[in-house]
Parts: sequence; structure tokens; C-alpha cells
Amino acid sequence: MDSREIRWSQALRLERQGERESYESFLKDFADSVRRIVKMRFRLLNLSPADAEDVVQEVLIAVHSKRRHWTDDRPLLPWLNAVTRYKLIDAVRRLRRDALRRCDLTDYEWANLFAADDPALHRDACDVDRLIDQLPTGQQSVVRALGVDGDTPKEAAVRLGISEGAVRVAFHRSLKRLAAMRRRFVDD
Amino acid sequence: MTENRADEQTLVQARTDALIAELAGQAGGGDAAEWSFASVLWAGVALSLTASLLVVGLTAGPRPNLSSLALEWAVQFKAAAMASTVGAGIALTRAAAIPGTQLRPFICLSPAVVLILCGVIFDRSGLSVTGVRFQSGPFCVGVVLLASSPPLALLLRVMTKRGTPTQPAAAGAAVGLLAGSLGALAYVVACVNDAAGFVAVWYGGAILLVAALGAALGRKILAW
Repeated sequence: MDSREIRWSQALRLERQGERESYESFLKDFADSVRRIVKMRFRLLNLSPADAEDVVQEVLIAVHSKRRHWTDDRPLLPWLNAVTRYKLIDAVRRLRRDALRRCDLTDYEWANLFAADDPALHRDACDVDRLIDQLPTGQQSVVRALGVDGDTPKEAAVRLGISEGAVRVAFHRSLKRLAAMRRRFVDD
Repeated sequence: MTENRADEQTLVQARTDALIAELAGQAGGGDAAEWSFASVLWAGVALSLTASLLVVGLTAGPRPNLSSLALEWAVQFKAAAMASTVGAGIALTRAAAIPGTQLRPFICLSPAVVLILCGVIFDRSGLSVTGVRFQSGPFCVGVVLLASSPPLALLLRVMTKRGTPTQPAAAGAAVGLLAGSLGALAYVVACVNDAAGFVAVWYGGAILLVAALGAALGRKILAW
């Protein structure tokens, strides 16, 4: 049997008798395990690591609030794994929804995203074009469709044969990349 | 940049450590589960069946000569088929309430499905699958849906308060299956349609509808 199963289930039994120290030690060990899992998942899914600790805290609160539902005639590790997985999936869905919502501009905002009142910015058009050429092919198509040709996300999705959601996510990622490239360009 | 990020990480982790200290301070507190989930579920099932019988009694009323017909094959088949579906519903609801427990719908439902299929195959009564009247089927579905409503409400509450469902829609479907089966079991005392095919189609259809409703409600209500 996994030594964590023995230590952690004993800690939860002692918690029911009001024993604080072993419960705190369990929560710290468990938080370390969850942190490793969440960071690994976030890396694989290209999510910001800044949000990982929030998820760790959510899992801790979930386990704490439902701890009395675990009965000691059942193994603890599968119980903890299932709760962690549930909260992690929930968090990933929420973070992705938030990212899409940040891309969700009105059609007017999309159309005017690249419009500039400052004439000095027109001379930067060639620079922007050079930067766009450095993007991956798929992202280039999306940026040119939305930023240069003035398509709405729906029109771009139809033209490129991908979903509207994929257009928005690709455009959001492209903007971040362009901003980073632009900063390097200006610093140089 | 790297130093700033490391500082930020330390700060964020310090907040987690503070949370852990606060949670540890609550050791020994919280709702002590005097009854296990299984005990609460059984109590809920008993209450639910009582409520369903009441609804059936008030809507359709008991079948004429029920006491003399109780030993007839047709009535016993209906009761056994619905009781085995209730058993499947209880097993699936228990599994859905406990994180890390596998839901095995095919295994749980196979006794009920086999029993109903055998009933259909070996039914020599010649009775119609549409029932004694044209509207028998829809009437059956309607009464079962009504009779399933109190169990659905009660058992969803049991799941919310005492369960830890990590697949809310599946848990809702399990509760819906159980509630539908209880409603259908209660309807046996009123049903005058004795064809095994009628049970398979109309009772089965009503139970599936309640299971689907349970899944839809579960997705919202059982998420935590």
C-alpha cells in the first residue's frame, strides 16, 4: 500500500478527533502533490501558471468541505484523485471560457482594432507586416483576415474553414506574440 | 523578470500556507456524518416510494381487483422488473456519490434488462404493446413522470447534501433512473396493461425520460 494512503488516511481519522497538527501536515503534503499535477497540466494546456495556485487552493477547500463524506472503509487516494480531477477540469473550463470572453469583442471593435489615428503609426505598417510574417502560418492567416482584410471572426472562420472560437483564440495568441516581438524589436 | 516571478510565487504560496493554517484550525469541526450516505439513501428511497404510491393513488387509482391479481404472472413480472431497475438505480446512485468509484451502468442494469427481455420473448398473452386503449401508453408515461417527481426532488437533495458527485450530469442521470424506477414501481398497482412489451416500451421510456431530466438538472444542481 502507498505510504501516503496510510499516513493521510490516519491524519483524516485523527482530524475527526480534533487533532490539528497531523491534519495540517496532510494538507501541506497534499497541496504539494496537487501543485505538481496542476502545474504540469497547465504547461500541457498552455494556461498561465499564475492561475495554478488558485486551483490548488480550490482543491484544498473542496477536500476540506467534503472530508466528512469520506468513510474509512474506502481507500483515500482514489477519493482524493477524483476530487482533484473534478476541480481541475472545472478550473480549466472556467479559465478557457474567460480567455475566450477576453477575445470576444464587438464587430465594431474587431474592425477598428488596427485602425490608428496617429499618422506616425503608418510608417510602422511595414514593421507590422514583417512581424506577422514571423508568426506560424495558421496564425498569419487569422491575423491578416481580421486585422488587414477587416473580416469579422465569423467571416474569417468561414473563409479559413475553422470554428469561430478557434479564430478568436488564435487571434488572441497572435496578438500576444506580436506584442512580444514588437517589444524585442523596439528594445533592439 | 525571473526574480520577480520567483517573488510572486513565494507570495502566492504564502497565501496557500495561510489557508492551510486556517483549515487546520477547523479540525474536529464540520458536519459529523452520523448516518452514512447509503443509510440516508435507503431512507430516501423508502420515503420516495411512499410518496410515489400516494401520487399514483390520487391520479390513476389502484387497479380493480388488485389483491386477487397480485399473484398473476403479469403483475409479478411488472413488479419484479421495476424492482430490479430500482436496484440498479440504487447501485448507480451510491457509486455516483462517492469519488473514485466507477460507475458501471451496463453491469448494474443488465439484470433488469435481461428480465424485461425474457418477459417480452416469452410473453404468450397476445396482448398489445400499445395497451388496452389508444391512450394507455401516454397515460402510463404521464403518471410515471408525476409519480417520479417527489423521488427526483428528494433524492437530488440527498445527493447534494450527503454525496460528493464528481460527474454531476452522470450523478443526476443515476438519481433520475432511480426516481423513474420508483415512480414506475408505484404505477404497477394502477396499471391494467399486462403485455410485457408494454412494460418494456412505456415504462422503459418513462424511466429514460426521468433519467434524462435528472442528468440535465444534475449538471446545474449537483456541481459544487
